[in-house]
Amino acid sequence: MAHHPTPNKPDIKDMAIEDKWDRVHDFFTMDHMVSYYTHKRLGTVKEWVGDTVEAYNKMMGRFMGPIAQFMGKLAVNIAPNMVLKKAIQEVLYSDQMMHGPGEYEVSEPKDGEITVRFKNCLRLKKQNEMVKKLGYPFEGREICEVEKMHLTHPNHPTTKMGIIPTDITWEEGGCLWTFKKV
Amino acid sequence: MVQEVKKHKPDIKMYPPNIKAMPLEEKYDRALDFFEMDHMISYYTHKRLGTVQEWVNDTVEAYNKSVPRFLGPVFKTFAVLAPNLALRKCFDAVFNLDQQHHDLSEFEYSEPKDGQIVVRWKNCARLKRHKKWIKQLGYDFDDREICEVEKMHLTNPNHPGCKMGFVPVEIVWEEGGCVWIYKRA
Repeated sequence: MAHHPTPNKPDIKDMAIEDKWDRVHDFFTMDHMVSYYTHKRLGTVKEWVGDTVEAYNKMMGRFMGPIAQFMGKLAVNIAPNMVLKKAIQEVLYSDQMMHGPGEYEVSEPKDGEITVRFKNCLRLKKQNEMVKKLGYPFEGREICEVEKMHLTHPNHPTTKMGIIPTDITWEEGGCLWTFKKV
Repeated sequence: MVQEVKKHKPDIKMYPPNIKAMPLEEKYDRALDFFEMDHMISYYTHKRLGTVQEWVNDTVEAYNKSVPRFLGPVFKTFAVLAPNLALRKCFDAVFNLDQQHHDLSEFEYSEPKDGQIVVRWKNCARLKRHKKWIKQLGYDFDDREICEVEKMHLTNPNHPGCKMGFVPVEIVWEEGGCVWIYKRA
């Protein structure tokens, strides 16, 4: 360190945490979109998706850990609807890292099936803004299609737990997913 | 690839879920983690496919379209007339924006002299997260490999900084951080 002294602190103000979160969200959206763009033009999207779901299996503790406690076989057999409801609640709690308040709606689970809606989706809004800014030849919705590739992938942790999306509908400003516990 | 957008009105009733609002600090921390994980997966895939350079080039091209316009023609003129002041102002702006990933306490710089400035990231929050994710994902990486990607961005001739004439002439990985020496070319 002695060879390169840096005695000065920059003359800047502390960034508010709201701004930090918003900027990280934007930066993530851009970085993720650049990855998609490169893989799309190289024809390697499936390779990327495969690596991503493999990684998801290793990071359950951080983003999906609480699901595991509800997904024991015994609990599923005794009360599948309760398990499904609790699992989706945990997923939506974690998912708030990328979404604004009030974006979620869920149905009452019935016969091992639950429907989840993302309305006025902040991620979609940012994807549409970023596609325009970067001048990419695709729609913001294509990044949602990548999400769909993750969640329907046989190696995705929730698919392996038996929570399968049976219907996915793109709605204006959001989307609707129906999951079935098989 | 994109399916038609539908107006879907299911018969079933929908309700707001019974979940707590996530505190902003937790949202920010989780978003940072998710970003670093996602970025690391991208690197992993490109590394194993041998396409890291393609990815870096596309990223740098994207930066040209997304950077704030402080790197504009007026600033170019200013940089020629007063290079030391320009360097200082440039890094004040860079550090200001970089707070999205770092705490203010991580940044230091030297007094610019002869069109050259030394900038330091100490106790780097990003490096800490890189180490954590490499371990968690079980990737066979060196701790510094994501920093090396950053180096590829910032030394790429198409990077907005390089195009403005702010070129890193020396980069040192230090324990817990790094030092970059920039010269106004």
